[in-house]
Amino acid sequence: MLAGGVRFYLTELHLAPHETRAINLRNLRDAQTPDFKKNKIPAAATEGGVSWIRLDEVPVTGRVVVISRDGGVASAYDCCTCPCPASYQGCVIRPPPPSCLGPHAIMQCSCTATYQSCNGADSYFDETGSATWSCSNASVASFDSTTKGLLHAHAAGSATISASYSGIKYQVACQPQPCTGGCIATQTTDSGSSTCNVQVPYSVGVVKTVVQGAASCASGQAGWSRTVYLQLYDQNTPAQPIQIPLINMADSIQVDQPNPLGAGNTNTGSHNTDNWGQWPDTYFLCSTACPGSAGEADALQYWTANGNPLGHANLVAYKCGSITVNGK
Amino acid sequence: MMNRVVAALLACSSLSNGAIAARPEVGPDPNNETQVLGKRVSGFRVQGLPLVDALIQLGMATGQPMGIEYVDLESLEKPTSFSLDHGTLGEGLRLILAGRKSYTWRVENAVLVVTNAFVRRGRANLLHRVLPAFSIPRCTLQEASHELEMDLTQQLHPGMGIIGDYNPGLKGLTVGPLEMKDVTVRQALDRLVEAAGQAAWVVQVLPRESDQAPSYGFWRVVEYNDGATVGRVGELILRTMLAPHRPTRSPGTSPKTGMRDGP
Repeated sequence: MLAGGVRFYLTELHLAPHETRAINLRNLRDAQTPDFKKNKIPAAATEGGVSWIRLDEVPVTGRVVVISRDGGVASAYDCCTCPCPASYQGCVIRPPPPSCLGPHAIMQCSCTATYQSCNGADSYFDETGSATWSCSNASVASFDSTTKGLLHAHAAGSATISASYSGIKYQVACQPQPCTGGCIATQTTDSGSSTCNVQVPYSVGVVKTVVQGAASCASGQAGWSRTVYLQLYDQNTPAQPIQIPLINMADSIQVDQPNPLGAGNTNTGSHNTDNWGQWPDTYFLCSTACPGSAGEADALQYWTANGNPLGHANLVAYKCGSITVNGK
Repeated sequence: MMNRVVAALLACSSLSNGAIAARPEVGPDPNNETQVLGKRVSGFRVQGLPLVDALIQLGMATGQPMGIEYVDLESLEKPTSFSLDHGTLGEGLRLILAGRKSYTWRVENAVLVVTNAFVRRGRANLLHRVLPAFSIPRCTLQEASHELEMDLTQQLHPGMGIIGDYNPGLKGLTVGPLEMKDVTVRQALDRLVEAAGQAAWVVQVLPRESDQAPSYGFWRVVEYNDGATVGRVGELILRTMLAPHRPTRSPGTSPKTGMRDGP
């Protein structure tokens, strides 16, 4: 469907023999559900064009019916001019890399086949369930034995995931058209691939400071407070951000010796990552030695991601007038 | 937007003797147990969630502030399922707690408190500790909860310094200013979730440890609009309880570092 300069695709439409299916374009527009390319029909669209293809060599009749609020059914149009079904071109695997979190994570992959016909632009169909899936490194990840395209991550590393699909290319049997020779079908197998980088949460780093200043402390104490945004990183060198939401991040803090600020208590919280794998965190210090002391309490901050301990601990330096994390 | 957040944080970090928050004098009495338990609920569904999450879902469905002062491993991890097409908060509670005879509930300080016959009483439970004063300026609910935790820590370990970190809840509910005197920790928690409206507090220690304040916090506050937490509270508390690398409260030895440079 083409409306407002946006092309919107339906990629999973199956029709039974002799079935008639109505597709309400207004509902599609109003639902604002993105297609596989994340395109949405513009919410304000009131006009546009519709084109369709057929993938099997059976006759399909399409009709666009325009219903006017004032005049009922205003007009109807038929079309389907291609002499042959659309030809299979290839399969694109989604999501593209980097695409995995692991170990123990799962990810649903999809194989979207591209088809070409004489009827305008490329068309697409979801062939995930018909494709054959494989992974180059089973120790890193492997595909589910029952659910097509479902990838299980096992360990940190990289693997190539592939989908193979056999489609049909068509060409007309006689020229020039129109003539009645039918279509010549050729089975063709094509595959698409993508790299799966299994990321393992490894470390946490400061992205930016939101605010810092004197902390709110009990009577007789003073200190410092610094609110930052933290980012979850993977095991690679250089570390890559893990941009996955809803990972529960919890920490614990262990104070090193000497401890000139007398910070004998620790208090920590837990957080959930946002869509960028980030979360806000407020570091604080309250001590009777502040604000006068130039001393520093060093602490190790240990993180867990969804309960799994990270390999890297942060060094947090608490002073009466500053707090730094790994020197930042 | 960021400027507004920064301003709110700075305001919260400068404790002032703010005014006592006034409770509206008109409208239904939030302490009226009949009114609270009579709140309507429809289309309530819980599928495979532990008891703690089922209760919070009910609080969310009715907009009722809630406190859960007893958790055990079963209430945090055993999946349960319930369905109530049309009914009341009270009926929902009876449905969820059916067969759990040790659980009871009451409405106190406008908060629905779910408790258990095995909850520890008096000084054996930090919820009953009396704070001589608790005050906060306008700040996020999470910051207010942290302030309360700091006050409790100060009472348990007077004069001892404290370091750490907490979730500031930058995009969450706000409360205050509040000023309370001679208030128990539980009363202060009730006041916070009541002021926030769409929130609950949940203890995150097992009954036998209710006289100790773990470094990860004796309780957590859950905001009903926090989609990343609601429905996972039992799981998150369990993870927090069982997380590795939990240092003891009394640091004395130098930890092994074993670090490499981070980002």
